[in-house]
Amino acid sequence: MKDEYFLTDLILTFFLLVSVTLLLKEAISIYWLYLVFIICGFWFSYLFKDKQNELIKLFVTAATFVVLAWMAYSILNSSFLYKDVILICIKGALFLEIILSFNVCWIKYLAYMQALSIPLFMCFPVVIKNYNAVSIIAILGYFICWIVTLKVKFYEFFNKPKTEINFKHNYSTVLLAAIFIISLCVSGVLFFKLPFRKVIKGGIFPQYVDMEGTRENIEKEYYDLQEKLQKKISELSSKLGSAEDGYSVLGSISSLIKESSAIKETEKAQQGLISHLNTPGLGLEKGEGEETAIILKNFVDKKAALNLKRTIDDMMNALKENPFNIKARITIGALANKIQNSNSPQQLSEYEKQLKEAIDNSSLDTSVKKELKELARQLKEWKGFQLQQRKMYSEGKIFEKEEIKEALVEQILPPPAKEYPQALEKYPQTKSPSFNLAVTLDLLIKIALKWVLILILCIPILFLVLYFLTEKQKNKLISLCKNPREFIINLYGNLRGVLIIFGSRYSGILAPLSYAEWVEHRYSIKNNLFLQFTAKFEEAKYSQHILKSEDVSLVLNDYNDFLKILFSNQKKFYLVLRYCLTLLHRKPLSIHKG
Amino acid sequence: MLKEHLKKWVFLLVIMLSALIIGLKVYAGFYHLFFWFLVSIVVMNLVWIAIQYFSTRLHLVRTIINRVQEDETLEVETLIRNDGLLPAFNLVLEDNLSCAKGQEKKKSLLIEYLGAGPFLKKRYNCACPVRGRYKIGPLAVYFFDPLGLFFLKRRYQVYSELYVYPRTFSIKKFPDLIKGVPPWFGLETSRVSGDEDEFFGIREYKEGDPIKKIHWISTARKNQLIVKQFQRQTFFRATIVFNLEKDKNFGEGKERIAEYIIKIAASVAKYLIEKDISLELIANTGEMVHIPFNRGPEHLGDIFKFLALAQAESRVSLGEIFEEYSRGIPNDTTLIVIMPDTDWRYLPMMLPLEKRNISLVPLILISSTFLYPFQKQEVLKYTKIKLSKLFNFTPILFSRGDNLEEIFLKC
Repeated sequence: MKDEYFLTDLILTFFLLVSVTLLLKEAISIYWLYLVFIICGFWFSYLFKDKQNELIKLFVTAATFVVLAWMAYSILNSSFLYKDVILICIKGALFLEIILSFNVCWIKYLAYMQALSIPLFMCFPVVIKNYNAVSIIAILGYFICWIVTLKVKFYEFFNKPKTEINFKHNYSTVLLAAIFIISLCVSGVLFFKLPFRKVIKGGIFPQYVDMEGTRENIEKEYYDLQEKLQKKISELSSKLGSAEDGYSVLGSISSLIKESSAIKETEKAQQGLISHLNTPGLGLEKGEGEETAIILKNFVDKKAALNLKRTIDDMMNALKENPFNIKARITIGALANKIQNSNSPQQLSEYEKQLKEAIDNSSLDTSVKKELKELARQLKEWKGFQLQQRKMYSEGKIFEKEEIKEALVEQILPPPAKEYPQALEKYPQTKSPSFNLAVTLDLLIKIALKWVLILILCIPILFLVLYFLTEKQKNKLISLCKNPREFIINLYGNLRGVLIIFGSRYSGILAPLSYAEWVEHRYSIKNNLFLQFTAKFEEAKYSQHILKSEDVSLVLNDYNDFLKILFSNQKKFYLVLRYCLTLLHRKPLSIHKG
Repeated sequence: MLKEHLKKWVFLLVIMLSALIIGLKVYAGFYHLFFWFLVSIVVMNLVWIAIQYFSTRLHLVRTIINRVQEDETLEVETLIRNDGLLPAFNLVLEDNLSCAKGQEKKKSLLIEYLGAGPFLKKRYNCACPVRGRYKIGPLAVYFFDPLGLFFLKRRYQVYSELYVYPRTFSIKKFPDLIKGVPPWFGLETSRVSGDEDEFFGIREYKEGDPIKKIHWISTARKNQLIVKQFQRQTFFRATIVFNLEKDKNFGEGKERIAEYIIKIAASVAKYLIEKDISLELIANTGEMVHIPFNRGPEHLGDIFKFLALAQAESRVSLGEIFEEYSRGIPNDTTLIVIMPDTDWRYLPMMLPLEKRNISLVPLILISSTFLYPFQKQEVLKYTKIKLSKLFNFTPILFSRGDNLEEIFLKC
């Protein structure tokens, strides 16, 4: 039976992997090669499926350890930024999938592969740049594959023969599809109605906040801006009145774009260019100066950002010399990251102080410490320069021309869209203005606690209400004692109700005495208490005998003793549950006269 | 069931929590959507199960035969009917087959759809490897969600009793038994042919009666065909005696002395009852058991029921049992003693029975073979020599792993 489903399971696992790797395509540089390896692995394993070769198992185990070691080594040598760590994990997991695929016919490995696909799937938002039709199909495909896999596993677990599954008239499959579609719709509604609020409170590794983009992106933008600026300045210089001014402008641009230029040099070159742009009557057409000013501002900003990145990378490289000093690496990395993201000079000085303290307190070599301190100083300078630039631009102190000021105020000055943490505060309003509710962990805990509290309060109240109602019922029953016949009949009815709650359902086709025998046999009651009681009930119900108050006492004794025996046979937890049910049905248990 | 599904639940919970925490930590819409999707699917499935659980009213009936032999397959048929208004989906019927071995004890059957209306018949089976009396049940029904992730269980107190009788082997040949006289009196008998039959009376001819049985005188007198009727005169009685001593129950699993004794006793009892021999059984299995002389399949059923339950719990010796019951063994009968060779010191006690025309058939199990690996021929030779020195008869010997059927062929 297991083999019957094995091939289906194998195919589904393959599609799970294909879906997930499609989503991670941007992280895998050799995507097609990866797919080829996976197919080879599956094919190889299928070929040798009947020969559970120890050598293959050994190879798979050894390769798994190698990959795990590689992952550990790579993480130790990484920048410890979340994104880097996650990327390493993704690569490692993909390698593991390839390795496991070579022995996928061993059912345990198949399960590992399926399970491993989940963390891989959950990592894809880190690497994906844009959602497109392919990614949406891959996501849906992944979900569908899992649902089918679960269904197949369900059939497999209960050994349902494949031939007995009729997909055409399979109601449960239709149900499954309905539930899947409804769940998707509900989750969509919940997603828009109850958005999460981002809570960044740190973690094991330094947070990666994508304020400036990756180094590659910054470099690309930087060189684009450099090209544009050079072009604009060369156009500008040709329009300048004197050749001296032209040389001066070209000199400034040359110092500005120099890779190794220091902050002072950059600042000076920028000032030079600004003074030319500010000089009235240069003969510039309206619009030309504004555009150059914007490009200049962006270029300087990007240069500061690039240098910040480079300095952080240099710090990380210096730290890699002691790969096992993980704590220092994480602390220093986190502080450098904080400096990069700081928003005010006060924050900057505070973080810089903390960074220097962290460097001093670390067990790194003196030479590394010295190097790190120098880099920390550069980091602070560049960040300080960036903050100062932004402040000056925002206050409009750099350009005197009104049109340039206006253009800059309009285009440049608002904080970057992704900037943290101002963007966080703005996000819920901008993204979903009509809903004020946003889900946070605190909120969820609060709601859960509130409900637990309500339940704790409600349960005793409900319990008390039911208890008093049951007591009322009991008193009503006792009040019937004056009429023994009616009392016995009602008491019997009550006991039958209790027995039904305890799982001895009364079947209409059974005579009361047969039912009594069955109950006594079921609970192994040997003293015929229930039988006697039933006989009395039959007498009360069907005979014309005169019943006395002694009969009532006798029946009550039988009733209470029978219940005692019945309860003594049950487990305590079960008894508590049944007691609650008797309260719910308002069936009194022990009854004592007067 | 719970154990199997607990892993899935934990895994699902971990994924949900991961999606929630990552979603709260990093603003990425996907995690929010993923989290809500998982929540929706879990809630939807749970609601579905709750609806099914509370709206379905099931009626279950199990039918089984109440006796099988060891290692035979028990065929079970369970009828299930849904008396509720709504149809039920993804039900799993679980029966507790206590007679089965290991994981087979829980028999689960998937019912994907059960509409309201007539009974649905489900057939399943299991091997019953160990003799005994079993209470089959209760039945349980699991209400699963369409994904097969969650379930609610409802138990139905449907029980059936089953006896797994010890496995018997066919006996083709058995030592001669002593012929006795019937224990009742008052029938005037007349030997007609000198064989084992006794003239009983006459009756009208019925189709199929042999012509040689026609009583011609009566036929002439009554003017219609009359035949002679005979009653069997021969009457054999046998007593089986054994003692399942706890301290002498050597061996492992089914290769234990007690199991061999029970198997031999069952097979001998079956053979004798099938030959219409009146059989008595005296045994100690922790308590003294005496099944008096009787014949017929019902008697065999009683013996088998006892043998199905017998356990090696005896603390008394075979000698003590014999001393207590030997006087009760009637004259002109056969005494079949099944015992391990460690008990042969009690054989001399039994030899005086010959004076009462009681024939002794000792069936002896060689204990050492149940303890250690052995050379069959040597052990048998040694035991036979030892016994022949002590007594003037050769008993039937059994050792571990013997083909018991073949051993009886040699006697």
